[in-house]
Amino acid sequence: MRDIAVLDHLPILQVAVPLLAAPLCVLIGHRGFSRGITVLVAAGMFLISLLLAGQVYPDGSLHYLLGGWPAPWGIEYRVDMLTVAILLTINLVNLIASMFSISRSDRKFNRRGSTAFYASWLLCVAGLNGMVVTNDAFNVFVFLEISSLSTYVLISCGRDPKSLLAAYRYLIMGAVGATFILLSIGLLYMQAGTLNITDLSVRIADQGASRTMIMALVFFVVGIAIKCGIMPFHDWLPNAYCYAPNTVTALLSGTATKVAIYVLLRFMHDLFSVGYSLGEMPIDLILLACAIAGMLIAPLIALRESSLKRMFAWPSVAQISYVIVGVCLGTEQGVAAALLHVFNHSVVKVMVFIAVGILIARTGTDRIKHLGSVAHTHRLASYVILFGGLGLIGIPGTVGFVSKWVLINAAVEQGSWWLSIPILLGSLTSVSYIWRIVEILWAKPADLDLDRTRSPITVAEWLPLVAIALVTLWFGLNASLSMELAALAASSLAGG
Amino acid sequence: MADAVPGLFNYWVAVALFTAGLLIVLDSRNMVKKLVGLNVFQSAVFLLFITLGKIEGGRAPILAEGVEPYSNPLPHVLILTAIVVGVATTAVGLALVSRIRDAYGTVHEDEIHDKPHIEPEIMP
Repeated sequence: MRDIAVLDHLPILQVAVPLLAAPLCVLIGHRGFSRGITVLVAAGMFLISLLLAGQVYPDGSLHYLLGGWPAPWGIEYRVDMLTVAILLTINLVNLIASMFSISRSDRKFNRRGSTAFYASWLLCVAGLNGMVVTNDAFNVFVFLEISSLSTYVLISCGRDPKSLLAAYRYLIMGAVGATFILLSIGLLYMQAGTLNITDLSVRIADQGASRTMIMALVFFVVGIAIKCGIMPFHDWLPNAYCYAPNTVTALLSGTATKVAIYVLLRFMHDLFSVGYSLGEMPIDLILLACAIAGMLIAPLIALRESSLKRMFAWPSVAQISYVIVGVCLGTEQGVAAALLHVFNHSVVKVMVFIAVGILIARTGTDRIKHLGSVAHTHRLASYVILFGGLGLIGIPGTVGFVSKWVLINAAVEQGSWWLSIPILLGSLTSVSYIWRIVEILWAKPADLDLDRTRSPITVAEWLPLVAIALVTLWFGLNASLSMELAALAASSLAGG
Repeated sequence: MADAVPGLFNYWVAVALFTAGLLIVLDSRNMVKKLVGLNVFQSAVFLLFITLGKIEGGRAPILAEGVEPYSNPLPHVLILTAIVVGVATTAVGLALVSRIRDAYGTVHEDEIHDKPHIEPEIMP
């Protein structure tokens, strides 16, 4: 009997478990305990996501009422296939990144490996999960701020004092974006008198377009675009990724922008309906222009970067652009391609940043020019970076190829065949910066005393790295599972 | 149209605060002033929410039957949460600025960028 009761409460547990574990870290104040509980909670959350997936598969949906208040009045959590797809992605990334966070490579680069760091980590994850499961527009804002505030703290924990500047800049941009979203929610409430997303979508469809709605949509899209890191709003992203501790970069690259994409999908396709946000309003044209700029410009900037971590931050800007293309197509295949790319890019990125973290911890520098020939002494990390790089380009046999292929198919089917040109062009440009890294890591004469940088790789480093590399390899070679889940998730969004 | 200004007074104030706050955030080079601007900017949205919950002559329909017309208490409660979020953001922002001052000796963005870039030292 008891087990059944717990299974009924999974949606709230997904958020409540990390939220309760965070103060526990600070109260107990023991470093080892905080590390242990962070990994344990991450594993538990991934398990909860799997159980939730089992409950809603293939096309069900769960409605969890907080405090038992019926839906339009009380706060409702909704879990359907789209929710599950994103939950699985971010909790897998969190599990891998938290395992890496207890490794030695973080201790060296994290000035305060204290309990507060892990408390912030747990709060960040709680906020991200909350944004995904909630079906209440104001709740989205609150969870967004929970995750953002803890993200600023996590970024500022980097070793270089520039991490403080990166965190501050992100805070200013993030707070402006969040306030735009709050304003948009206020305007929606003004127009429709409800905060439940399902209820909002019904009422907005009844009322038709008005100036209040237009303003709400515009403020929302600009606000969330900052959080996604879409091209002209990406200013915070490269510095935040570069100066944050290595483990935090791994976590952020696979979760924060991805959850923002989920919220964008929910609002644009569900709350405002495709016909309105993409038909009557030219949001798709504006976002597509941004996305094409991102795809083409970001790889060129990456080519000129002198820092390894910063260089790998730019592909995030580029890959988010591919996702945005999928979102803007407005068709079910487009959304499926976007979701597939969200998952594929998350696993590739967390893999690359863990490998980069291992490399930086050994060599003590992230300047690319100092990294000549390190591939010969640090084989595992270098080969994983190469494998990840091939995935970012989209070489056949990697995950990047699968989702770009699906995306181009979706674009052609929707009648926008010309979109395949920037997609291919962007992928080709990516070859240049990946090649540059390969050339330096393998062929450039050694700059450092490589024997001094040699130190054995610990379990907390190779275990998450090998695990995520195997996941990436598997989904690159056999994409049937990920494609099926993405298609089901897209149809659950279209079905309402 | 005649009562557009007095009737919508709160909304005009909200618009004024919104633009003024955003201008300070974008224009100021002083990090503390930027946070002040952010607060002004957020207050504009708070004011908008509070205004849309209020109706002239209305009271809150709590613990009393037959209140007509009634003010909607929900936006006020929402803004209570948003104010807490705003305070937390300011606190984190000020904490960051204080540590930036420790590290760089200034809170002015131009002076920080003028400093030469320090390459992170190579660890053994």
